[in-house]
Amino acid sequence: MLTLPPSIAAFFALFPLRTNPPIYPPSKKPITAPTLWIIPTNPSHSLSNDVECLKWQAYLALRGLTNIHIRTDVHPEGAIDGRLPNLHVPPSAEKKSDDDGQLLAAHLIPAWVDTQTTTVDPDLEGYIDAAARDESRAWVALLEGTVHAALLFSQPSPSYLERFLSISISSPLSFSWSSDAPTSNAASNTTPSPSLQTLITPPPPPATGVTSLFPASGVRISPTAILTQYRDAIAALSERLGTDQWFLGSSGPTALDALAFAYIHTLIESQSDTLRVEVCRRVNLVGWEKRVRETVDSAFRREAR
Amino acid sequence: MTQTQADQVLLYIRPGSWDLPSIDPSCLAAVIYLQLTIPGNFSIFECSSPDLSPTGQLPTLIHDHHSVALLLPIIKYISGLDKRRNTGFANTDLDHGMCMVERSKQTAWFAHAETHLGNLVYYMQYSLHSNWVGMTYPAIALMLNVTQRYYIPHKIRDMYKPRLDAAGLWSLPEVETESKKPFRDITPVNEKAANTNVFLRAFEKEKAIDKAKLIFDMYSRILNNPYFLGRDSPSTLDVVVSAHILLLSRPPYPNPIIQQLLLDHYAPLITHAQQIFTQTLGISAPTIHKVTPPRVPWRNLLPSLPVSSKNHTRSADEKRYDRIRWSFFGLVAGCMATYLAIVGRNVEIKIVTIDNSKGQSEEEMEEEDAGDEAGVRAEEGETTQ
Repeated sequence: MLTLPPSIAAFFALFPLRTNPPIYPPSKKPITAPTLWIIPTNPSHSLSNDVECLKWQAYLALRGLTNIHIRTDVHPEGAIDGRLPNLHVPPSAEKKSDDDGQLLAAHLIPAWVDTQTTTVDPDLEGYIDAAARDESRAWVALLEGTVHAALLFSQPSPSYLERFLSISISSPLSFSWSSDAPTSNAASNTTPSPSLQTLITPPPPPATGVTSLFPASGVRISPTAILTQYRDAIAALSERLGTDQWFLGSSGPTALDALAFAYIHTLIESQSDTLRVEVCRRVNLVGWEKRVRETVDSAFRREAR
Repeated sequence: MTQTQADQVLLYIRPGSWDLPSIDPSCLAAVIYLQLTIPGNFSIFECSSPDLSPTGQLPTLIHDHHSVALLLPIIKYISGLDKRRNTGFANTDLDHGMCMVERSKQTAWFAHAETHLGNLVYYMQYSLHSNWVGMTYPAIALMLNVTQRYYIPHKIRDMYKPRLDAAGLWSLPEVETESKKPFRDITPVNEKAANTNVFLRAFEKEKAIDKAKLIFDMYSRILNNPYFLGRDSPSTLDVVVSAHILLLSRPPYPNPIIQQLLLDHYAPLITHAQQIFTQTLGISAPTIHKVTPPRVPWRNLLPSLPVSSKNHTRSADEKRYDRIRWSFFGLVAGCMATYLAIVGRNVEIKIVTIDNSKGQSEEEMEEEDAGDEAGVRAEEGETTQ
């Protein structure tokens, strides 16, 4: 056997190997009620600042579920597919009690809700007729396209320093593209969150121009065009709601109401005056939002930590 | 109607191909809208790339020192023209007489058409590899000049990639992977890998067709004869939808998956688009005036001579200074001439040929002072006169 020369052994002795005791994970709290993991909220109420999370909050509440816990300490990177919200469902009663329950990605939530409450008619989806169901698709396109573009546009872009320093908190407005038609395809879940490039028609050219020899970067957009379309969209939304209780004259809340609430609430809380004023001057939208907000807020309970 | 140049409505669009005024659905819709509302009173300017447009985006409308970008703002601007004084336009609002709820419905459908029908058109034009290689790329390249056509089409295609990616419609490249060895063993592993690729592509097309079916079904349902949403005259929605349907049905796609679906199963949509086409872009429709871009000759790149072309009357002082300046130059020239005449009296210029040892002859200008007795000779050359 080779032995270490004493000089080297003496040198290595300067750096002794220390073994620290293992760190065990903190004891798991047993999950008792369905818990929605969302991006941090205002301390005053339980509604998320993020449109996508808020949409699912509203969906759960408007489907009639109550007593849902929320959890805000999970970073989006810890969520399924790196995207919040996720629903943590407690194990069913007949299973063992040490089961951790199940974590559902956002697009699996409707199927779970169907097992909890009365299912809606899969053909009409809660709308009054087939025409209204088709029309709801158009409104979804308007909200997720035009209105979302305006929201993204009004957000101040982080400065270069922030971009370098921050351990990237994902964009507060991250959400999946295909929200009305949840697909089980794995590829559709990894789609990037929409940017202005995906929302403006036709796709905007890069800010460096197409003919230049520089590598393309940034987007060239016209703020007036975005705001014109946004104003039109909010005016149409207000006009369509009228004095109805729910959108498109439905007798009960639908998925479109959840989506509309998420956007209207985010717009009312928005930092941008231009966007907020458009909504706030329409009384029916503000009143409707207030009424729905109370319903949604009461369905959630902040988990004691 | 007579209009001055400044009042002329000028529309900047992507150039057309395949018998359509523009290859972009938004630009095509803008042209159709203007043809329906102010036929003959506008001109189009074809921009081969968005950089040539004043706002950097297409379509763009310029009128009366206003510039408006993108389709919906253009439509709103034009529909408000008849309410402004002194424009001389009438009935520029296609949705005239619609109630507010109908208008709001139309706004929603407009966004839906731009998003979802737009995705289908972009998918057919830019995403499917065979269509891109066989149709769109040559069409775009022909619009550009020689240096630009080698790199700009790919940049234009890249503009559409994020959007189609997000919609799940960006397809895998169909590039044939040529095997290096012509006689490769067909192992199960190789075959499986090749098949997986084929299956992926096949299901991708199925996915696209499923999406297209959902969308076309919806538009078939809201198309109440003769126009959308039960109107008896074309509205904004008709314009937008027909622009997309025309771009899906008319170009000669090498891989016509969605085109075939549309032609086989959705005849009402085709008929409707055809009707709008005949009305606005057909042979009997009013002609569209085109503005040709100003040619930039290469001479413009050269720096111009610093000669002022303007001649202003010169004052008495300036004239006097001019006279003094010229007399100074005259004096200098005279002095120089006199000096040279005196100094150069004895100077003689000779042409001397030097033959060196290698036999090469050179001509040399040699200045020889005839006055000097000891003439300076070339080192080794033999002088001849």
